[in-house]
Amino acid sequence: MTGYWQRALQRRISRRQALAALGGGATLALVGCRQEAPSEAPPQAALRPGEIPYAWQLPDETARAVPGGMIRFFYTNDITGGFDPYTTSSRSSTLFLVDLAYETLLQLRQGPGIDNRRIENRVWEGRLAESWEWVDPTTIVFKMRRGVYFHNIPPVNGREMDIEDWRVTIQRLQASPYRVTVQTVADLNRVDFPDSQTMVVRLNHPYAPGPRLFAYGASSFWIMPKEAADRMDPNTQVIGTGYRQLEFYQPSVTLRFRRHERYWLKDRPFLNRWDYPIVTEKANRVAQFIAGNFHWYQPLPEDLLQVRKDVPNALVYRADAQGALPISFFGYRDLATAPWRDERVRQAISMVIDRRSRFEYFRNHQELLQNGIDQRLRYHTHFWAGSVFWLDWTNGDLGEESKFFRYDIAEARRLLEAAGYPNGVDIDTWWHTGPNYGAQYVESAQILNDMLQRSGLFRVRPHPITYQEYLTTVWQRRDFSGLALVLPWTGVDDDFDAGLYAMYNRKSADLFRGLPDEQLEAMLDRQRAELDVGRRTQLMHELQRYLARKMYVIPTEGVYDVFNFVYPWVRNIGWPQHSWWLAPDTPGREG
Amino acid sequence: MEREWAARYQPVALEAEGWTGERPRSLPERALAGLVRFCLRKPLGAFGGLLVLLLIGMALLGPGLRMGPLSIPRLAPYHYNEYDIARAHRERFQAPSLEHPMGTDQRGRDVFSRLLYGARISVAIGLGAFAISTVVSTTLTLISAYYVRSVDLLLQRLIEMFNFVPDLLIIGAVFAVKGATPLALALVLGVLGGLNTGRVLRAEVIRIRGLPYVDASKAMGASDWRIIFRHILPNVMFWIIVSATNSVSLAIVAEANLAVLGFGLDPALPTWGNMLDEAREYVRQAPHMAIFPGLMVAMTIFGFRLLGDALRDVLDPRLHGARLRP
Repeated sequence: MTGYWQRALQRRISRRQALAALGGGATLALVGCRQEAPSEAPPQAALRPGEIPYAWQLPDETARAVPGGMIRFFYTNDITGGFDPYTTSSRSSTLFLVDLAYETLLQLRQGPGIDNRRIENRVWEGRLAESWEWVDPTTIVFKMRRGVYFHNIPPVNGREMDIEDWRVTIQRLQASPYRVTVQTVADLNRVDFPDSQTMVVRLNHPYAPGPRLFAYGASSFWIMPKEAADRMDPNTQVIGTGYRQLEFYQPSVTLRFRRHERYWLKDRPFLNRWDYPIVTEKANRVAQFIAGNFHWYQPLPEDLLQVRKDVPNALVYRADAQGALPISFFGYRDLATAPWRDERVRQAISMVIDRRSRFEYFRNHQELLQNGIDQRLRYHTHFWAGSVFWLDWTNGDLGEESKFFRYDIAEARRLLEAAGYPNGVDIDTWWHTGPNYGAQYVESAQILNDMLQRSGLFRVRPHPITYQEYLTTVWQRRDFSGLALVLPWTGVDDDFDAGLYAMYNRKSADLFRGLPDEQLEAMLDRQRAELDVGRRTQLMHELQRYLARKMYVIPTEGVYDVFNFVYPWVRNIGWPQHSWWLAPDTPGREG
Repeated sequence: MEREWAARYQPVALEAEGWTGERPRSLPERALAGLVRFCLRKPLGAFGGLLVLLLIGMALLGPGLRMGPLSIPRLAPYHYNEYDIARAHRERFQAPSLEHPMGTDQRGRDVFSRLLYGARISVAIGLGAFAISTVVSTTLTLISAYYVRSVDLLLQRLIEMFNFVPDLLIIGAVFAVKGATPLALALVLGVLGGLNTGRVLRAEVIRIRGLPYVDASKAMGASDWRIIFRHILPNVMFWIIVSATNSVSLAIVAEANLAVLGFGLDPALPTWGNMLDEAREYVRQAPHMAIFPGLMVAMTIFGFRLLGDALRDVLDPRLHGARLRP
């Protein structure tokens, strides 16, 4: 098997290098023509033989693009909560649809040769805003892009976007009931529209991650047509400015998009259609990909080797930093008297968790490594390991506090003895048994529960409960004693300011998972007011060490690279999908 | 009156049948003879019974048994949750071998041991549901069908109300209150099964209630309870036994179905349903994870069905008549 893999990987890289040779000139020309060229390496330079590349390391094939064709993806759920991101009852499923059809004001620059993991490459560029600038630490000015048209669907009928659309979107945002939106709105002081092309946003305080609010879907800044206020129902109609226009949706069957003919980015998109059949079963999805009915697939780690074997001609590329931040948090019921009011007990809990074994188990790391595939596991601290301010405790970057993340039963025992619990601690553990947090959640909770029990330091009373009970008692009211296990925190992003505020600031109400700590809240405020990247980085590192010491919540696992499989007739995947194209010999190219 | 008649005339009847006064056979002797006769007449039923016995044996002995001074070590080679997460990547998904006769699962746990532990839970749920279902369906139906003009009206409407509500909702509600425990599941499945099977039993009771011998008993002054338990119950007993064997297998299948639908018991428990549910995710890498629990469920259903069918043939007096016809 190993020999086979080595041969297969070698063969694939050789082919890619040949492609690079063809596309390299175009890539370098494109990169060289940028006005604000980020620090970047030529796409293939960073690759070692046998190494699976990131998408940004793949060649730019724009010059050879052949327009047309239908690309076939899939989706795993129904859109159950309606189409309106501001009122949906099922935000995650709606966001999938909305993200395909609507656009935000800004976007992170991406494309071949741009490594977004490097902080100096994280450049916010205009999308529906032609340009933007910090006027002062609390004021951002956006200039609207001209020549942007909505999808040609009544009642909007493909008219040009104007500043009134932005105003209506802001109003819908402010009326939205969602916590993440409220957080965003709380940062806004006032929004003015001094002329027909300008929006001036005044923030309540200097806010370093400000541009992000206008760039990511999670903050709800999708520009909607003003007709959404009274002449159309955004819950049943999707009319945005994105390069994909919703053509057809049949619940439980399929979502289909077609090309937006008057998309503002000239000559884009190259593709005519995007097909997303709804396939809920994983085994079915794998089978469809192997049969060639899907062009793209991202296998789970346990399936990866088999899929590679089944589809040897597929191109494999990495996608960066996937994974939620699982946190275990304490209940409020007896917090004043519970052993874990003492930070040493919380630290001891953290130290009986074998994070490496857990994470490697869930990612099937060793087997993949033996077959030449390195997922590059990075372990969470209290910061999401994909964030730009994250410090790696495995190599001691976190300093003295690194030890609180290491598996060390003897040290945990010493901490418990010092805290006055030489005979161990009784602790209740809580998790729910429903499918709501994904297939891995329940198993993750069980394994953590077993680790606490087997450490010999904790006498565990497990409480696997229904999701309904968990939702009200554990999640909403925190009316329990003990530890709620491995809640997968998905509100994470590369800046992580929003995640930190949600978890550790009491103002975030129901999202708050920490324990009251004024010093911590002051540190949170200080970092977000610091616009200098260097000084803010220092503050974030201090904050990270403080959280490691306090251990108000217990983080586990980390982020990892995932591997996307794509059939070789899909081209230009180093770019966003508006620049993907299908080779002329693609089977069933026109659908 | 009827009892006096029976006491007066029974000796005469025995003599008339040729009883010569020899020592009557003891109960074990009669039971053994009956069992041998059953095996000879119904070999498939006997095979079903053997499977059921095997299952009960697994349930009793698999995880070990400790009752007072009696202590039998466990049959399972490993504890059902024995694994080392640090070695899981080497021990997971192992194919069947001497060390692990049914292979290992995603954490490297022994599938055979988990099946043995799971047998106890499955049998407990099945027999629990069987007991509850039998008690509910028998008592409610006998009373309801006998007092057809009064109690029946109320009880049947109540049963219809239950039938209107999907079983999944009822199970979800009970789990929300009592927790997803085997006892709660057996209780719900037993009650729901009892209400459903009771309707068929009711029709049979109503039919028997109208037969002349019941009228004759009434005329002789027999009480309602005597008529129900002495004259009606024995004549529907075959039906109760057959539906009870069905209810055991139905409960075991229901547990598996619920687990696969995400409404099952605590996933930490090694129930066969939970094992099947986990196996879905790994069916390509480790098909044995699905095959063996699936076989156990199938074998259990097969065993109980064969046994039920044979018991029906033996106990149903109407089928006796049919067999005697040329």
